[in-house]
Amino acid sequence: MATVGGFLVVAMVLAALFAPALAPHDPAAADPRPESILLPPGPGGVMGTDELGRDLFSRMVYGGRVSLSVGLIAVGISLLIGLTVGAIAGYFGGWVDSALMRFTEMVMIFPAFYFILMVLAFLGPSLRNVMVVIGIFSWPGLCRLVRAEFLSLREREYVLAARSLGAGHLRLIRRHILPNALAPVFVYATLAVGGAILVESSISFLGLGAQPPTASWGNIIAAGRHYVESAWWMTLFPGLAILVTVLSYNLLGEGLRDRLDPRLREGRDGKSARG
Amino acid sequence: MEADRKEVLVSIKDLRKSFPVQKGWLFRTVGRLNAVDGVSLEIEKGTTTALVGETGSGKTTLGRLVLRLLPADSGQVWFQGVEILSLPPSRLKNLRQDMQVIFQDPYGSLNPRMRVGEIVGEGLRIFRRGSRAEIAEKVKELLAKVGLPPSARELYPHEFSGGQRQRIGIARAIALRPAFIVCDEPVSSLDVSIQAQILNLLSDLQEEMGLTYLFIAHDLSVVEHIADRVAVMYRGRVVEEAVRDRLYRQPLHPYTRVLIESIPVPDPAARPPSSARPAPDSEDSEAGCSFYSRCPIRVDRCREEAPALREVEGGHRAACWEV
Repeated sequence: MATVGGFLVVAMVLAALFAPALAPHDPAAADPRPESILLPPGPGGVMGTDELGRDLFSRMVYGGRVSLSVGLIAVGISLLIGLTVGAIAGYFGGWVDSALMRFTEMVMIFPAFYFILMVLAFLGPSLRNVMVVIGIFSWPGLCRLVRAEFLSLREREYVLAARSLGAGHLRLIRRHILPNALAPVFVYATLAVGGAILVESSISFLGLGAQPPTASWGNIIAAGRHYVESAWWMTLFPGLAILVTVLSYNLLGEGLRDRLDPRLREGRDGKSARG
Repeated sequence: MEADRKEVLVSIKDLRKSFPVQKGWLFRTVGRLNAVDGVSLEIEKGTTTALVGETGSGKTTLGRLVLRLLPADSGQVWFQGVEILSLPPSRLKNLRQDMQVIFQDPYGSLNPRMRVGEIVGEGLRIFRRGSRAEIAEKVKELLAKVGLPPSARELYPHEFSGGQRQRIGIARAIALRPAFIVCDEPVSSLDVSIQAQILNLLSDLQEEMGLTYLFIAHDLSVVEHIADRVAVMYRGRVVEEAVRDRLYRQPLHPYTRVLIESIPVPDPAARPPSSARPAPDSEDSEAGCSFYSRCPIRVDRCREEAPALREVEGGHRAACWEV
């Protein structure tokens, strides 16, 4: 299943990269003549057209680009904050740890989604704001994971050995602790991309994300919901795309976890699992 | 005995370290465990001092306190005439070149994501002992010294056996040409056939480089052939300390006798019965001797008052009222 997920993720990344080559039409090219709007899938377009006569398949491909970039950049921001705060808290421990973790919990208890909506209502809807705001509110989970890894790794004997060789804080963190903490972080980040894409779709559906004419799976569904009875393709295809994308990232993440987590690897290769 | 005493390299004075004992879902601190409870010990230059005790006796903690890998609660550690526990970090870093550590677990003590060459050469890089090429050359020499081929540099720790990994750990420890090495049960997790090889390697290196060892072990059999002096630890305290031969031939403390009785003997019929009481049959009192509950020769005084470590005769120290 992880392979399927990985394959789909790669396929979607490629589709996003080569969107201009893949899309048969300009996603924003409207053709509002009555005979070219709300056409069902067929010879005119594999996914039909929308209420303004735009080619739905092209809009889907470009929407995928939006989803992917929001997912990656939001998780990138979240990684940046989560890794920094978690590493400092876990490495130094003591009151530094207590202070940073109380702050992290404060961010965590915000009902993030509604808070994101509120912030976007203030800052104005834009994709850039969506990425930043999702990133700013999604780091606590990652931070706690990183902290826990650091707390346990800093007591390892090879870290002690490096300390006794005179290694400074930076060398200990960069060479000895961080590389050994990255596997679970990578898993978590993969899962988080799926989550971020879902949040972006919801926000765009509510009209606070990608602004027309920019296509996003969320706003395609939003436009299509008025025509659910007559033009099912406008809601079905983006809905399926969101489902499959989030599922793929989750499958990939779970697969990576099974592979990278030594505690789940028992019996496969005891010796290297210990190291 | 006193006449041939050599120069003291490491001097530990009344060293203490306790850890909080936490209980319940709020992890309230309900007490403190005295892992190292007022230890004083002198280690002579060029010798091996063995520190022997059972699991939880505080021997590993003591080793880490001496190297300042753990902060001590109180006490002093003098090394080459410098008190290291009060040293500012900048001066401590320089001193680190002279004192190193070898760990018990050959799996946990090597970073799984670094190549052996990087592991062994790390200290040389930290202290900028030469150019990249010079360090690579030195790493080859170090590997040869511990009996590993130069090609080992390119490999990762998991590609080696336990004994070979321990050799890598030793190469890392001697890279900076230290004066003092804490060997924290370096052979306890190795096969018996490998143990002798590693012990011989450590002896050879000691002779060649004039090393001083604090050799931590959990029984007396391993250290019998390599120790010059032996200190026995029980529940955070040194209960007996003497020159090796004296300690093995005339053990004074009842706990030391228990340890000597437990040295494996090839002939099962010749094995003496243990003199220790089988299990603690009474609560240890706070004030009394910590060995009271297991002691075969205890008297009433032992429950009231803990005996201090005192010199019984000629450099032989023991902490027991009955000797």
